[in-house]
Amino acid sequence: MPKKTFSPIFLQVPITVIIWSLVGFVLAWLIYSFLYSTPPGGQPTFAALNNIITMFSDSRLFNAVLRTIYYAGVGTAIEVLLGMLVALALVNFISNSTVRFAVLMIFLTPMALSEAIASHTWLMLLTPQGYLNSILRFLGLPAVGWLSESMALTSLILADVWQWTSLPLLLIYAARVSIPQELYEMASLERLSAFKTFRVVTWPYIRNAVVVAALLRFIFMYITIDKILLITFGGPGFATETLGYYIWMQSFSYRNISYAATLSLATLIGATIIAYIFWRMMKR
Amino acid sequence: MKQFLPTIKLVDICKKSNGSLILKNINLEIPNKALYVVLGPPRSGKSALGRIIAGLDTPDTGRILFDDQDVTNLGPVERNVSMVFQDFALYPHLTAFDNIASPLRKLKLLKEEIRKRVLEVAEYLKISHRLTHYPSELSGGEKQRVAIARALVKGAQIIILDEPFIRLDLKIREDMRAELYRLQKDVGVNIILLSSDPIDAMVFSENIAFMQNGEIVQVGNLTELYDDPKNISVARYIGVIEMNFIPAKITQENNRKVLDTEIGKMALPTIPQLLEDEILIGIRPEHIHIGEEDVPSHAGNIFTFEGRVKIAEVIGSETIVHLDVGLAEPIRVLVPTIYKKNPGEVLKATFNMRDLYFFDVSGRFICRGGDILG
Amino acid sequence: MKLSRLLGLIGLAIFGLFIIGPLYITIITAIKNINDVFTIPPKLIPYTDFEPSSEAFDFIFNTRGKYTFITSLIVASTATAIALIPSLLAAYGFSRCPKAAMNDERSFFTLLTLRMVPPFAVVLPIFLYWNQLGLFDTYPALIWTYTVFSVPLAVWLLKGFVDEVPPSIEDAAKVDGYGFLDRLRKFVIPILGPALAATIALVWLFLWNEFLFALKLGGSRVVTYTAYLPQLRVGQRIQWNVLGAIGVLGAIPPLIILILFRKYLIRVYLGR
Repeated sequence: MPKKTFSPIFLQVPITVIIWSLVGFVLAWLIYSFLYSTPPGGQPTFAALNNIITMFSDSRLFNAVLRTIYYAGVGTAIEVLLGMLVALALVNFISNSTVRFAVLMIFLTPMALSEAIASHTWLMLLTPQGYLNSILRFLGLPAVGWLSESMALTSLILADVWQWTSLPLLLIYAARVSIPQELYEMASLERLSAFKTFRVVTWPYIRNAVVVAALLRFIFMYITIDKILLITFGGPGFATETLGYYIWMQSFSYRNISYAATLSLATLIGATIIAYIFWRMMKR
Repeated sequence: MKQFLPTIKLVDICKKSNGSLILKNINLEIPNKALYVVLGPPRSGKSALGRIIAGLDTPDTGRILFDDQDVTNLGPVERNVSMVFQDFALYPHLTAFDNIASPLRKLKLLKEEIRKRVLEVAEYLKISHRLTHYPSELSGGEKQRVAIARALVKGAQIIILDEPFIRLDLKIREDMRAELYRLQKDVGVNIILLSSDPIDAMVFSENIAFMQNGEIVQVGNLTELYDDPKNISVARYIGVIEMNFIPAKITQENNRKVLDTEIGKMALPTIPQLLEDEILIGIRPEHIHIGEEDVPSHAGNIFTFEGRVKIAEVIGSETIVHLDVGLAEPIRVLVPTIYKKNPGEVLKATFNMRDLYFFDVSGRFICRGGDILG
Repeated sequence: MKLSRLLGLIGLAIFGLFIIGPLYITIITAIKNINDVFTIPPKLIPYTDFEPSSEAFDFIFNTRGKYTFITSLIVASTATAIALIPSLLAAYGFSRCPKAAMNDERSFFTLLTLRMVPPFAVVLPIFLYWNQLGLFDTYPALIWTYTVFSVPLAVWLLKGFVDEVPPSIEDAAKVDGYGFLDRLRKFVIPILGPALAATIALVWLFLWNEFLFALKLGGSRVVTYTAYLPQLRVGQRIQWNVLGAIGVLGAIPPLIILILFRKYLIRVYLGR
């Protein structure tokens, strides 16, 4: 409209105010605490170099990062693969769309729950005297150390798979359902094998959904430490200590404020890079 | 509803979008009390122009004058302009009645007054019986009528319609054209019709502006654009079926200048002086005749050629015969009757050279055959 | 029936059991007497293996347990309400004015980044922030933190929905004489309708389920049901049945939202 009443910038002002009321302080504090360390009752001392050196020589950190990559990587792989199989199975083997949708809704339930609830549900199952072992022993089998040092991380992955497979499932299902039926009819006319049909017809359509689902799950798996906080506490030993949990420990248990800030800052930088990659992929 | 109908003047209008110019130095005068057609292919800038006249967008440079009053910085309401959009833009959450009433509610009229006016306009556009329905329940034609009613109801001086018929069936389009015509005559309002359909120009033939690539190429009535197109684009666009184009070389033969083409050599008393020795000949499908015996008078101006039938499309009570003559595209001939021919058959076709259009190689119009032959 | 179909259905059934199993376990635990919870053989069928008991739910309703749900409700609802209009304005800007300053792709990307920020990296500074302001363990602290974190999600969702409202509707409204606020109020919002409701529901759900900040920013006065859960594990005897009961109660709003807004679920993650 010819009369310029206001600039679109004003549309962004409210959220900018809201966000910066917190973000500003957070960033400033992180940078400051990375640069300067203030021991209780003492003076701020320049700590940036120390922090960096510590970070790069911290083997516990290194292991935590490896563990995080393993945890998020394996978890994502299973969730995406399983989600894809279930999505395709739903479409292939249940023809009635109302039934299909109802079943889908049931599958989506764990995703709607809080991580806190899901964690305690699985705690009931995994704890040494819990349901899984009760059932095993009832069947005459030996109990399993679900939360033992060797199995804890796997159990956590299992719990996460239970809760979040439905996300890739949902995305891939939506993509699969948008494929025109004629393509499959053509494929069967040409007598393509199931595998070939998948590669030529299905995959091109669901590929985007798979990639988005994988990125989302990977990101949210390394971001979230709820289950670790509630089920295993990073242990036994360091068995389930991911990067996030390690930072949590530094922040609230060991109270190494400066070092915790360093690690947090490093993680944020990494998160920004990953978000950028995600953004670029979404634009395609 | 006081009617004050201004003439519209656009002076040096330029507009950029996404970094490129979509309106290049537009200068146009639109008379009042007229139904004005702005014709042009998609992406020629028609919509942009319409929005600027309406006041939805501001031009980067230039002015808009309504009867010498500068309205460039005024909005649609102050300009008293209404618009009918391509997708009708009816408010889906309101009934047809409330859609039409919408501009009036902003004017803070009494409920009674609003009701009266809405019913009046609805009656005029014959949709009174559908007023309680929602847009999703209306047919294309009905939606169109509601959109027009909404544009009319506030008594605007100028109504701009942006490709209003593009989403309607052909038959409904005919009805709506008639409605528009009736509207203009009865209410006397300025109507500006933005269209890519040449038929709209042929129906509302008095005021046409042809637009292409953000520029006004030619302004005039239908006869002017039909007989004296400024360039190939205009010539192609105006006409029920696209004009045929035949490249020709100017050569010497027996001390006379002759046009050498794929379909034969044409001898003309004079040939316009051109820089190149190439020329583009245009001949409309409706000016070519098939199967007539030699025409006695004007025999000297008749040109005959042969072609192989590629296909004969019967459309309604007419036939379009596509003749292969060795050019990139077949020559289209409009036969006014049902004329069934099998592909492969060789036919004789004739036209009067007075009907030819001559263009230079850059597409600019030179003259008609009739100008040379007298 | 073809063999492949049979196998496929069996596979789906197994997956179904996998999903429903733990849910079922939670529910029956919630209606058990504490002594019935972990037994060998496990007591899995009500009335047959064990007598259902309202012990867990009684506990919740007779102690502060019930207040934790109210706290969650207050906090999630308030934060969502505060974030809504600013987010709508911003989403409108991103959708309709993508060339304008602060409304362009880069700004949108910045917002997206905020969504992917690991909470564990910022909990400490945020905790200290509120502590310094003397607002530790208060409603404003948690509510405002939630507001900040719900904005990216809300804007992300709303932008996609505003994109789907045809711009010509707003043009028509402009021609009819409606100014910006009027257009937003009378046209854009009503047309957004259920999409707006879905956004509110999904943002609210995200906050209702949140755990980390609730844990650290709350204390003894501000306790959400998620932060309450670990409190039931202090001491020798873990109150498993109460844990189950809280899980059941806390799951009700998510399930209602899941059913009501099922059509919008896909949009959450595609943002389209």
